[in-house]
Amino acid sequence: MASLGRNSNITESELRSLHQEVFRWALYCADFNHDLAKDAVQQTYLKIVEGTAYFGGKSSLKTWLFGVVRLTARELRRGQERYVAGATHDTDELLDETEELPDETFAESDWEYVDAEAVERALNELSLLQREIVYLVFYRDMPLSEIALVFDVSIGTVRKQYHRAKARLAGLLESGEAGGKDGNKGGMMNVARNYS
Amino acid sequence: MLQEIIRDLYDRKHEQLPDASFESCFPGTGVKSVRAERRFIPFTLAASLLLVIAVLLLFQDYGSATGGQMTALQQALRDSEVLGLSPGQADTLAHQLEPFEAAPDTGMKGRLLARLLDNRDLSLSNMQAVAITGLVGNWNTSEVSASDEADWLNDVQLGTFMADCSTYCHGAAGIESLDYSYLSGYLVDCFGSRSAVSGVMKCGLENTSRGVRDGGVN
Repeated sequence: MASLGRNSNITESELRSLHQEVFRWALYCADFNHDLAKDAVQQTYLKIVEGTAYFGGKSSLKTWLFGVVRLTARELRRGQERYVAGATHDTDELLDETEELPDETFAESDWEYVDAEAVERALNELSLLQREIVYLVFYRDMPLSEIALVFDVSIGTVRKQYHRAKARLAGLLESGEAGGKDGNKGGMMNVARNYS
Repeated sequence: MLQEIIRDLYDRKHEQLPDASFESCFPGTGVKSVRAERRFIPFTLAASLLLVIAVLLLFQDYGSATGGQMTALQQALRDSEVLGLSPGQADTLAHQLEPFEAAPDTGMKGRLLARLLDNRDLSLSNMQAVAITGLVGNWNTSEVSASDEADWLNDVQLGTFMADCSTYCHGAAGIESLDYSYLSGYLVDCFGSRSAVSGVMKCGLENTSRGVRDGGVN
């Protein structure tokens, strides 16, 4: 299969093999807007073919593609809608890498009887960066080191945001603040935590 | 447990939205067309704008006489270096000359010349009026253009035409006589060939004499 112009180290078949994962990631970055996701993937491929995005081989191709798609989707979203609340805090959070991390208070196996809607609402309360990390860790099983490459930030930043995201999720699910319009006060109706 | 819930959550979201095929995203299929369309839109707008400007300019320059389509006569009037008309004058004239060109008849040249000279709005010189009359009168037999004017002067019809001019100009308002020496000089200046003009002059004078003697010719 022919290589792609300036990106001579990428072949069309490689892109094809990663396409589904890339597109699903684009869907997530586009807040599940199908047209926007398709645009993001198209423009990503175009950047690759035209050489405006160059794969230097410092990470896996998939990781690099995820990074390009994320930035492209962000470019497309900018102006179409306001970034979700919390995104504006990302910059400050990224700069604050020296802050001591909170204690580990969250373990995936700790939760039982968690209501899916409550989880979704809780996820929506996270900052954009935190949600993206949760998605990549929980859904894509991507290591934090790779996520750092996708976001082009230090692994310390990713680790810190990941822990904050989990703590925030735990807090929201316990307190029931992610209860949406109905309030869902007393979140223990939906969540029971196993402290064992 | 929570991870499973999140997985299920995103699985459901992905299931609701079909994946786009690789072909529909990769350049050479969908992408280039999208890019082309994005480029085509401003290009089309720019082309449309230029077209509108061109049409407006066309109507501004040519529209008064023919509603936008320039006739051969109009073009000849504009091209004629001898006449030295502005585009606006040429267009106005072409409009006024249309009836004469469309239906030439006996005595037309004389009437036309008189009309041209009478029309103070046009502010034509005597020589311009004469030349225009000849242009219209000889239109059907001589494709007159700037490059053909020297040949046109050699046409014997010009002699006839000049005779007509002489005959009618004597009686035209504001024109007491047609100064052949002036006309000759003017034509020589225009075409740079005295020999070409002299023959015409001679022919014209002869015709003038005959015309006066016969009471006018066409």
